[in-house]
Amino acid sequence: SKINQARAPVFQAPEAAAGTDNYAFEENAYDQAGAASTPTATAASTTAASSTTAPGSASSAASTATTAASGSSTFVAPTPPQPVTYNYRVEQAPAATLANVASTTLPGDSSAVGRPAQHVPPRSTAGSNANSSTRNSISLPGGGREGSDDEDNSDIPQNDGAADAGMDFETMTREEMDMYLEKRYEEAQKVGEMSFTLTLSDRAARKARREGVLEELTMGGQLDGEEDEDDDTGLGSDLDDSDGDMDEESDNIVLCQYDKVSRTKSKWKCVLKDGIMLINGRDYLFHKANGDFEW
Amino acid sequence: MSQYYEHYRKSSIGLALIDSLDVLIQSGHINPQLAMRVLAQFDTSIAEALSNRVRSRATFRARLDNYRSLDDVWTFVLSSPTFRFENDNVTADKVKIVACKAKVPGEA
Repeated sequence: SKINQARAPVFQAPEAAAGTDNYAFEENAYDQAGAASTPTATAASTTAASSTTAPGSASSAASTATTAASGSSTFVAPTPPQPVTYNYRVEQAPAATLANVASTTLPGDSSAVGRPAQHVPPRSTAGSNANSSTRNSISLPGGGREGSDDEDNSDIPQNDGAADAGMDFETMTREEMDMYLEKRYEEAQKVGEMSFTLTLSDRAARKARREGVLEELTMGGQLDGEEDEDDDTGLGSDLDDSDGDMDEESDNIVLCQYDKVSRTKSKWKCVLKDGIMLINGRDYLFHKANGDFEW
Repeated sequence: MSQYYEHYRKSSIGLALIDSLDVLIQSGHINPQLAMRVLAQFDTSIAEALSNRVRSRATFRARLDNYRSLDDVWTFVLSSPTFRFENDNVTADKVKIVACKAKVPGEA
């Protein structure tokens, strides 16, 4: 009954979100089906799984926010199979929706200060590989300049009681991670309200993928047997030729708009406007620019 | 309200803003929703500032290593570019240009 209670009020809000990113919610369902091991979680997940995918996932995602009501929590395991969409889409929609859902289903809970913070997995904008914030902490789309290398988890005051300073998610095996998740889940049961996300930072995810660690995690972690999307041949995978050329961003970049781009044989001409340039560490602005390139 | 491009978030000032918002979120002073609003406002403001308040011009020549056009976004990778501003010349080894289609004023 509590679960139904949790499901009923949240159907309005996530439906709009379910339209935007069904893919991400599918992922949530898969993760929850695989990871849920205790009876209460099983009850919630079977109820969720028995309904259609989108609303079921929406309710399970919603139950993350309404854990006080339902007493169960969901957690999103690391998402190894989709390093690409992980970078681009997955984080943005769930984060925004979870915040929305939280605000609509818990009336009177006006301030977010002091509540356990909603974790948003790191994310970088499409095509960009700007350094993301520290793993296991919130960051915004676009990432920040300081990567996980610069910040120490223990320096940041954490309101939600997470004690992850010593954890090294990138090198844990699946068994260790399972035990860690169970431990966190049990803690949450006592507290009554928890929501957390384990993700790898962008850099770590790419590195892990290259070193084949993520493959191992992928193979072990799929308990429901469902083969998620392409891993090897997805956009931006390591198989792309000369993708490394386009990926480095620590150097000079020009962000602008183009009026016209034209070419004659191998001579390119472009008319650009409203640009910001970062060159040799200095910023320049222009209102209009003309470029002549030889290909 | 028309949609503005988000690629300016990758500039130095955009990244600095994102870093600051990150710190604020982690310390619990703002929620992620507000930070998204701030970034949307940044998109609007930077577009307006660049088109209305910047007056300088530039020209540049380079060798084109790589070009790509997808969804009305041109991406070039240039090598050995020379940029010429008003009495200022700048050279670099490599530069990447990300250019979105220019918006006609008054149109979404």
